[in-house]
Amino acid sequence: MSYGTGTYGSGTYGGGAATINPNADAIAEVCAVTEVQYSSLSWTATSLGATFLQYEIQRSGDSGTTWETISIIQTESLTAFFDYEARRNQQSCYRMRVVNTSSAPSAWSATVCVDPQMVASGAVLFVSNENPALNTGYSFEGPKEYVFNDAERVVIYPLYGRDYQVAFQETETRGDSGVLNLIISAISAPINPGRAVFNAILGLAHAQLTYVAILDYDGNRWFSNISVPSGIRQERGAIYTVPVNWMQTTDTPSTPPDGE
Amino acid sequence: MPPNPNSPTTLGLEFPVLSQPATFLSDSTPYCMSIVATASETITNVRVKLGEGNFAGAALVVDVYNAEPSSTGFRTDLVYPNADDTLTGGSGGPSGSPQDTPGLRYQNIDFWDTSNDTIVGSSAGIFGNLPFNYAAQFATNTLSLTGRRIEKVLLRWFGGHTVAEGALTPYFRINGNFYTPTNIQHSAVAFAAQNFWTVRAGSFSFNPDLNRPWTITDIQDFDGTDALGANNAHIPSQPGVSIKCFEAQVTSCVETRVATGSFVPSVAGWQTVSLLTPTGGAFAITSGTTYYYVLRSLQTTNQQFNLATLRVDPTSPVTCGFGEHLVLLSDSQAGTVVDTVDEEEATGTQAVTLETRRPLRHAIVPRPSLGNAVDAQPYSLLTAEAVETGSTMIQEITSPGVRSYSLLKVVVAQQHEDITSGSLLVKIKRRSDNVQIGSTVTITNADIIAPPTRARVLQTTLSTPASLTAQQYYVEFSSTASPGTGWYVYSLSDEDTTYDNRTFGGATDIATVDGVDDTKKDFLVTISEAPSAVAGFAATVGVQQL
Repeated sequence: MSYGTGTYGSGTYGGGAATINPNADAIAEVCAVTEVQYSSLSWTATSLGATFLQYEIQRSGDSGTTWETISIIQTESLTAFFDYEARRNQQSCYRMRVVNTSSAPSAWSATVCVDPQMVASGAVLFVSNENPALNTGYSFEGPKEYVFNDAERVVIYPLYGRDYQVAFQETETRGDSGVLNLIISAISAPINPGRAVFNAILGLAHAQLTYVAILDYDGNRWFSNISVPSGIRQERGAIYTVPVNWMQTTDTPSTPPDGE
Repeated sequence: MPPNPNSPTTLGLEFPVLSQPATFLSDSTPYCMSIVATASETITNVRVKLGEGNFAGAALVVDVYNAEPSSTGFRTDLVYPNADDTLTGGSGGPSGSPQDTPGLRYQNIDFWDTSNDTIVGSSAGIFGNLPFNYAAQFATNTLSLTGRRIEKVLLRWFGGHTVAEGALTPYFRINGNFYTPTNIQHSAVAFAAQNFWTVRAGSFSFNPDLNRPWTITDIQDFDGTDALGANNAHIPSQPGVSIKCFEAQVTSCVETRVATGSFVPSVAGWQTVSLLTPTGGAFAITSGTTYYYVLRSLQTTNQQFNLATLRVDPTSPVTCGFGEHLVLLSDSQAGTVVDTVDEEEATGTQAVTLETRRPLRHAIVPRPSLGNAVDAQPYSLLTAEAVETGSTMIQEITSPGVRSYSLLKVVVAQQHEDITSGSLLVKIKRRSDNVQIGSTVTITNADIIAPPTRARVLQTTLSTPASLTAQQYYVEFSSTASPGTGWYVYSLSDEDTTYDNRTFGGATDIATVDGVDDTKKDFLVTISEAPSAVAGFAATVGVQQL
């Protein structure tokens, strides 16, 4: 089912931003994303048998100029891999090859491309190829602030006998960070009211994952650690919000084995 | 050229683990390699290549096992004189008395019960004045040594002196030659009533006459043609000596060797070592069995041999020798593998050294008679060949059929620590017309991990695989780098002309160094077959319901 022809195109989101009325006593659940699109990759299994070592799948976000490995599959009979971490509303291209036990790779397959969509401009996805069962997504409120961590690493030091100052700047990149204030429920009578409303985002924050991929409508993606320091429940309207602290930890995709 | 059975999709030598270009063998550093026999045949010799070293008094041994070497079931047997052999300057009693009957004087020697340090008997012993020399045959034929491996023979006498400490020195007489142990120790005898009585003891862990491990026959000969004795060779000024007790201790363990051989090198180079079973029979190997060849030295000090660098086995897997080796806790001279330190009283037992898993980096080439064994090891040297302007290296290969090769491995290094003035280009070309097949592999200093001047295996892929058919090709190494800032590619070579036809590819696929063919050299390069590309690769958008 693809965006535009299925639920998203004619359903709750209506192809636009979520409409949230924090003062309403009872409105439809509009805060939690109910579907996540992904790149579904498939192939014909090879028949190397004892000389099979692994499949390697790579993704490109720039139409094939640069590639990054997103999966190493060591089961020859597997014929599918789902990539949830592709940028939204942008084209992602893929290629794959097989490697034998001599470490010799095949030629790359033909490049195939897809365009997974973000449903609403006011939503943000938290996904993981390592454990897609934890994938979730919410609307957010307020402005998005990007903290560029490199700035605070600059050290300014005045030197005796030298005018002005000396600035020491790291050559490493520290990435971005920020806080997302999410509305995770705005329904007067959630199925599991109270603290349980926060379980999904808390579960993702505590999961043993290399990172959580944060995807937004603009095609941004941060491989981040996330933490949820608190949760807020506003009684009137039963609005549940959380601040999610995120800190970029890498720019290299993990390679979950066998498409876990 | 048969494909490598360990990697049938790869053409080229199976790489060994590279090691330092030279190593040393001394008394406490046995080396081991293993070979899985791929044929059943009789092996009469092995070949060992020695570099320069101190050969004075050198003696080396090759022991062969068919299981990881171990020595168990150690046992020490005591034997006593059972016949006179020689007596000079002494007697067993007053001249003409029954105690001084030639041939029966040994009966004047009492037994020493080592369990509680008591003397069994009250004989006067054999005594006399200097110069004194007494030797006897010992009852070694009564020992049950079948299936045993002799570790050591220790000779010990207990006696004294009328004025000062005893002066007699134990000695071994073998084939008419006299050998005095270098490890003689003596100590006072606290339990003896007489003053100045001492114990003297010395041992040999190998046959000093033949410079090889003891055999059962050697031991039995002390009950016949050979003798064990004591004389005053070391302190000739002391008068009035006597032998009260005289014994030999034969230490043995369960025989686990399947063959053994020894040699006394005098010059560097190839050494041919005859191999026989421990009982002197022909050494036959069985296909499929793993044999462990342990090279060790009999020497105790100052014997170090600069050994040839490495071996490689192109046709059978190596389970011991590179990376996975044996732990040998060895009494070096006996060569037995022990797991405890055995410090016997007053015997001067060799220091026991834990030898960690060391590779056998020199060539041991098992072969039957003067021909080649099926599993003969053809290589002995690792050589770096400079690739630079005007210096191009070639390794021939033959494709067994229509194959596509994409992976290339080569052992390379930079000539200079920091810079290269040109890339190393690797190309696969067809021998018949020199047409290049597949893409060029370009290796730069960015591909080399520090330290760049050390040999390393570099693995890379051909962006366009080389599609070969059943004919001969060659891998060419070239560079426009200036001399001194170019590259080295490494080869295995053999200095023993016996093994020209045992190298990779025989005389068909050979190496060419600067335009000169060398049938005894092969470059360390492999190309591996590429699998077919994955078919049916497709992508669609799926939807996950949360």
